[in-house]
Amino acid sequence: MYPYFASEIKEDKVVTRMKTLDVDITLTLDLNKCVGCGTCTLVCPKEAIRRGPVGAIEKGYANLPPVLVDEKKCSFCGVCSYMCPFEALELRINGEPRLILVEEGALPPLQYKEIITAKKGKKAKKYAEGEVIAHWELCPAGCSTCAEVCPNEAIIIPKPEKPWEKAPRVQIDQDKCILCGLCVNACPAPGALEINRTKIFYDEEAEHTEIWDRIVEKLTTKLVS
Amino acid sequence: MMEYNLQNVYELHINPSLCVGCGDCATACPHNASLPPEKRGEEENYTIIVRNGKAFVVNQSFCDGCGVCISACGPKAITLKIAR
Repeated sequence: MYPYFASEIKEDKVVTRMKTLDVDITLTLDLNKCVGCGTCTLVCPKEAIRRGPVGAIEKGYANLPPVLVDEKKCSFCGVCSYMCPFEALELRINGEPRLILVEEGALPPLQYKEIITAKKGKKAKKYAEGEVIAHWELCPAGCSTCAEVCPNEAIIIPKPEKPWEKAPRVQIDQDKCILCGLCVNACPAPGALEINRTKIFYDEEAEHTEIWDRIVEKLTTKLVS
Repeated sequence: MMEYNLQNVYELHINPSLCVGCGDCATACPHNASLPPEKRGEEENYTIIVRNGKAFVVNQSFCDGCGVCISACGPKAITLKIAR
């Protein structure tokens, strides 16, 4: 039966496939690269990507993919693949990596800094400016999910010298932060962390359509955990 | 709580034959711990509670998948599974 949709979990890859008589499109999520930052769930125009238990996966308590693509909702546009800071998603059309939206000029070239993360040495793109704010007074005691998941070790939870003193619990190194949003995605306490991307760096003179404007608007809205 | 958290793709699963009802998971759960005092009376506001000596997942949609309950559980009764 065509079109044929499938989503399968192989060893370290999750393959979402759409097949018609003349075209075979696959969206592959590389589980070795993906950290679960949630950028793809945020930018997806069809809201086809849902997030998994990010904190538990990063701590090693669950063997599940951090994000799952709903193959029935996905339009295989490749926006997630283009915006992924860790280049974990790849769109292939008939076996070749292609991004039609970029070829047609709907998305402008991103201007990014390449960073090798401190944890696991993953390649990451930083294309935004902004800050992550911790409201540590809302943190439940004993939780250190944000510090444990941060791919670049930008979040530190120091032990206070005297246990009865209220020291600032969550410290964020804004220079190290790559603004991926993983900490906000994983934070279990409502309202404890917020990410505020103020600017997205891209070639403003290059042609782009309103798809891109919507993506920038979604990325620059303040997100609270 | 995130705006793009549409619905959970995973669910907490508690194996009742392994659960000893100690309540460590309910105490450790950051969502339970950060409930404001006015919401503490009703059971529906909690993610995980202990009832009749066994732990129960009350509201799956509150679970953020942080994994704190899994690490707190002594007999390893809690697992996360794909829901669909």
